[in-house]
Amino acid sequence: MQSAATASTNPNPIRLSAREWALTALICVGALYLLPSLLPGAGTRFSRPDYRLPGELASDYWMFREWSQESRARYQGLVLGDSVMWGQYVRSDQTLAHELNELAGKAVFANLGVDGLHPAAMEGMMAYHGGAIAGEPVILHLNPLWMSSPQQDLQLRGEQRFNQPQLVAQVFRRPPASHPEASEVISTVLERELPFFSWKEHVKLAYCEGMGLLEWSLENPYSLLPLGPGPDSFSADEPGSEPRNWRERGIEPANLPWVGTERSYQWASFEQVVALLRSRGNNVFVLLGPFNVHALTSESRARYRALQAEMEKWLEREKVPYYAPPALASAMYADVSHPLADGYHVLAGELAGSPSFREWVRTWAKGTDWPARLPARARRACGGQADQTRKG
Amino acid sequence: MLFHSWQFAAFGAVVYLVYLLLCRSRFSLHWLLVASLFFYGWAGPRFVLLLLYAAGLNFAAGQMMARSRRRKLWLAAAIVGTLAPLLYYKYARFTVESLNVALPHLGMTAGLALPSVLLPAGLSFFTFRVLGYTIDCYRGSVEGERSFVRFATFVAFFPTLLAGPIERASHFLRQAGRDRRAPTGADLAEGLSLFIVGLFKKVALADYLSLYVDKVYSAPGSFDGLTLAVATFAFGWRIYFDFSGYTDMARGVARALGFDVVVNFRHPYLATGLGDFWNRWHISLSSWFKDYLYIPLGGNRGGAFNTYRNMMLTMVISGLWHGAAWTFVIWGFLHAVGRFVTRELERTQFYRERVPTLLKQLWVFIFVTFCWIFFRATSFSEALLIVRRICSAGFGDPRFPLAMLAFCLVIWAYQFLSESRFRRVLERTPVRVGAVSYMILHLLLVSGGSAQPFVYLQF
Repeated sequence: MQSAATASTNPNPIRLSAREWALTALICVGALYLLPSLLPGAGTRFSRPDYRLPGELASDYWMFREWSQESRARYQGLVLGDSVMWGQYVRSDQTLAHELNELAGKAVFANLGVDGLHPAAMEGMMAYHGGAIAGEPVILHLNPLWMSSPQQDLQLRGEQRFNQPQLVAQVFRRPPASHPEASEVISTVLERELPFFSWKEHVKLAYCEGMGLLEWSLENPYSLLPLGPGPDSFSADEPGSEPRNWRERGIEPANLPWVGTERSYQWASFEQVVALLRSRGNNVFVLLGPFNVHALTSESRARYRALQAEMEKWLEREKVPYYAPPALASAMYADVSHPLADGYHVLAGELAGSPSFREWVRTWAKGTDWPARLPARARRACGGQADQTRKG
Repeated sequence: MLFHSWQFAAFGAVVYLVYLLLCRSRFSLHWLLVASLFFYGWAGPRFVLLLLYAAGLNFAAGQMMARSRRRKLWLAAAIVGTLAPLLYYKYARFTVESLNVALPHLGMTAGLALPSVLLPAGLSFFTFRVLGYTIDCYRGSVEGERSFVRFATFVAFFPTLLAGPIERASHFLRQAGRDRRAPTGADLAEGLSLFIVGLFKKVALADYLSLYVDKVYSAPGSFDGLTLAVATFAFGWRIYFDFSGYTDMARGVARALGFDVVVNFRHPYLATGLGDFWNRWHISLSSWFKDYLYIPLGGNRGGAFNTYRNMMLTMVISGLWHGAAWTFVIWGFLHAVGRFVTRELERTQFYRERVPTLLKQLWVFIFVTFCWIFFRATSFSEALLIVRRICSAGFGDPRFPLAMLAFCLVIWAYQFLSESRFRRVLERTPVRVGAVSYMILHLLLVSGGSAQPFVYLQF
């Protein structure tokens, strides 16, 4: 046994001086910026027609950045929103972006929809990962579902799980439902501010089956590095969920309480998104709904109408071009907010035929004949299928 | 508050900066004491009182021994008063469980209610720290400390509070004396180096290996012999990286504050005998047991029988110190047997001169790894099951990640190199800078999720 007196020689020769620490810091910072470029570029996969981010990569903000950069180069306009714009119950060639492109006769709009991207998350996505789309024309969708109850509006305190928690405000203006631990706040801030950390998350989601590198190596013991096909192994061509009508799913009309615009966290976030995009030179067009009012009780429907009026009033006051389409036919909804394929077809026709949209398109698609040949198709698409509960 | 958490990063930064401001004032130790108590109270403030009780009792005993002629009485009072909480919190449940098993065999009624107690973090460590001081005071090798703040800082010093190293009073109090020096930039650079190495051992190696070990050891009956053997091998490295990583981080934090803390590990898996192993593994504990138990028992005086009896007692108590379970007693017993064997072998010229060092190192490693089965298993029967299956349950594909194996082998090679004449290769700037850069990048790449606690925090 050894006495304490002899125990103070250090067996570890790895000690750095202050100057060596400075050199180490330089090497690490350099590597942090170089490492992400080691993976093959993503450009080719985005060239597939009607590309949309795979549902499995909905939290892969690195991919969102890459896709938004690529879509800026390939498309004239962008469709931004949650799974309604992504097309949860339809194939990638049945989404609103696709239907609008069909009407245009060419690929004009890119589908930048992301599953679970409620307005509070959209604000974070645009603020920290959406810089590449500055100056682009944007159809910004608002799904009123996110204001349908205090829970959806992130108002409930306590242990509430919600979509895309890394995108909401972490310190100031934090939604009442968000209670991140200090370590989560720090990782989120790092992921937002340093590309290396969003790349690391990308590697985890796209190459390591959603696991950390260490857990992945346990599942793949004889591979030293995850060198699989990465994002190409995910396909977003097929619907994210089975395309069935909401009635067939057993959904009954609900008495959703709704949260007014003056109290709504999500609405305040939406206002911020509009302001942010406009401050970056984006030409914003807001698409409000269409919500499945058939799935509401009559009282809830009345409250929704009042809420919609408030939202429209704000959009008019702020001079934001918008379109609030009438509800689609009940049979065209898969749930309370997501249309089925027919629904997108009708919605695209209605949207393209609406004066506000045509006027908006004219402001940025000068010299093209696109809006001019829309009305006939739009009329045909509308042809009595839409539920005329409300005129847009 | 774990060293590898953001909370500690914030805490450490504040403590360091304020300490820099105060280090030349007479309040610097006050600040360290307050910070240490805050650190200890982070998880549960009530145990701070226990810490202050241990510090107060032994401080008073040290003072009284300096003044009174009844030194032995004060020593006994301090030992009993200090050990009582340890015995209660750590061993009450184990004692009752053992009685409930034993009493029916003696024809007596069992069924004693199990006490529900939560072991305060670091209790075993600070108990040994204060007892060492009091015994040294009794022996006269240390003067009774006159400043309670200085003494309490020694007891509660946050880098070493939860899992050691078990500092000696003479070593720490000398550094915390009136002529203590202010921390320098070199201290910070060296402290950071130690911290990064420790962090890498813990997060990149120990926690990584634990993924495999925990999976296999959670259901040992479902795995074949080779997988269990590989998991045991992995556990040997896991516990080494975990505990030595903690120690490196503790030493790094202390170093940044200008304090030198004793080395606790010196490449234990390069040991050529069991005695050598304990000179390299948890050095501060083995030296504590040597100075305060083995030697007072008689040490190696009085013939072979007494020597081996003292060794056996020391090792078994050391096992029990690690955990209140029979598996730890058996672990200590096995190590004692290993020490007898290697001690006897080392007395032969053939073993000393003819057996290659590598072979000695290999057999010690295999023996120590075998003993870890009893350390890791949750019960004696589970340990026996693992041993049986390793011997008889065949050789399937262990699915041990290549990366894990590569890390273990690289570290092993590194340790061989650092104890060889080629050590200076490792001391070259490009190697050191490259190694630390790699560690930082590796940590950035693999870190995430919640911090795993250190194994030795449970002791």
